[in-house]
Amino acid sequence: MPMVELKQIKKRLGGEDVLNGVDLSVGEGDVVVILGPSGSGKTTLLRTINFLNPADSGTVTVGGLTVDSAKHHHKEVLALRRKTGMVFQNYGLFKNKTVLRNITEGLTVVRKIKKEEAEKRAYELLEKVNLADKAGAYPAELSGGQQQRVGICRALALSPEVILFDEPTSALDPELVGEVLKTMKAVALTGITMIVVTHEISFAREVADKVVYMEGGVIVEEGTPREVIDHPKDERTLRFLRSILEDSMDYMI
Amino acid sequence: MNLNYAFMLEDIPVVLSALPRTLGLTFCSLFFAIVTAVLFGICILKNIPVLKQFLIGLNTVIKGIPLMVQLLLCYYAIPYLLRAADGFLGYVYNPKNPSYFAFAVVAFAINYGAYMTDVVVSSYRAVERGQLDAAYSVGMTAFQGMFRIVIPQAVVISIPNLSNYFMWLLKATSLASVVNVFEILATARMSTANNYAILEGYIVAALIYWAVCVIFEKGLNCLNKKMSRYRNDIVVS
Repeated sequence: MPMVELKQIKKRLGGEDVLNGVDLSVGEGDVVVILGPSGSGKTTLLRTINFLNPADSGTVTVGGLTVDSAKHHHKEVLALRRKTGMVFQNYGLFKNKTVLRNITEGLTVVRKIKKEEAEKRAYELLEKVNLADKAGAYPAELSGGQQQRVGICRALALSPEVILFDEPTSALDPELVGEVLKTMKAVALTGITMIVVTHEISFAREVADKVVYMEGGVIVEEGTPREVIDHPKDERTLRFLRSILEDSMDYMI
Repeated sequence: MNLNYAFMLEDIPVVLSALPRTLGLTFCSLFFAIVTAVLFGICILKNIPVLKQFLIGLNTVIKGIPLMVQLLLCYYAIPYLLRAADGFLGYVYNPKNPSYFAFAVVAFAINYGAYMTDVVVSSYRAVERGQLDAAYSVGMTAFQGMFRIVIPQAVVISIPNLSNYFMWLLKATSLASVVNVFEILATARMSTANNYAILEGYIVAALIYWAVCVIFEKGLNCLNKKMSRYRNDIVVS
């Protein structure tokens, strides 16, 4: 049984069809990378999974819990969100809370876990990303790469069944992208299910079990990285990959 | 200049005795102004149809009338309204003992409430939206996200603005001397009735206002610094 299953997800935004009936199935422990040009609906799709932007119609299943986008009760949504974690493009850290509190907040407030236990868990995770010494710092005192690693720890702390990554490296300075990708690779190795929206082709090639190419609100092509990235069948996939892989070699000064 | 310094010294404790009344007027007005601003702000932020447009319109009316005029309007209009309310829900109107203090509080609360509504709305909007998404993503309810993440930050953002309004309000309470509230200014004026040392009385009042304001300003600066510790993106002077 797949860990995440989307069926006929449709969404209109501002009079335009952003998602035109997307079906996606993600197996347990799989890393799925969603590629696509901007405006293709990939971030919107990701946000329909945990109902941050619910779809107009279609069903979302996470870890055996199925919720209908068209008619959902807020308790169902809450239950669904408690099975998922999310890492945001702009980190989304709670600015009024320290690094430690950012990670423990979900554990103590939502899961009702004791403070000491939550802190122990937070420190374990911070050790793994080499940020234990920043536990008492506020987000504004950290670099973008450090903030994003804290964001990953916050998502991991809740032991979700799937983690959604929404362009986690897009807001970072180029030299900080590496540290975040390295952390994401380490997360992938733990066997947790991941759905990643990104432009990092090398990450997709190296880590993904499945690559999905989206354009115009539909999935154009999906398969292994070898199939989609190295031997794309669809003209649109080919054009997109060319544009991002060969961009830097198009001209000389 | 030939000032009656001896009288000024003598007058200080007399005028100071009205300080609690000035502070009481300030804090009562501040409290109700904040309540008004929060209620107005919620209606505007929640985009409640009709009510929102009405409140925005009402705010322009309140801001367009001088505070002094509003104080006088309350001074004359509220007793009239109370008389009309006599007998309603067991209320008994007592024309012998009107609470001028309360009338002044109403005027200040309305006036400052209108201005502070803007502070409430803008502070709330200044909190980075992505954090609410993040709160939802860790499983918080809308209520938890609001009260644990958004509102605490909106409050901190509003402190410098609210401090300014507080300082203005503290000084604006002197206007209440005109509508029979015996705060610092009215007390200072009255204390000079016997010896005509009017200038001396006003100097004493001015010095007391100044001293009180300096103390509050320092305190509010400290509070602001302490509360916005987590924001190193702004420079706190």
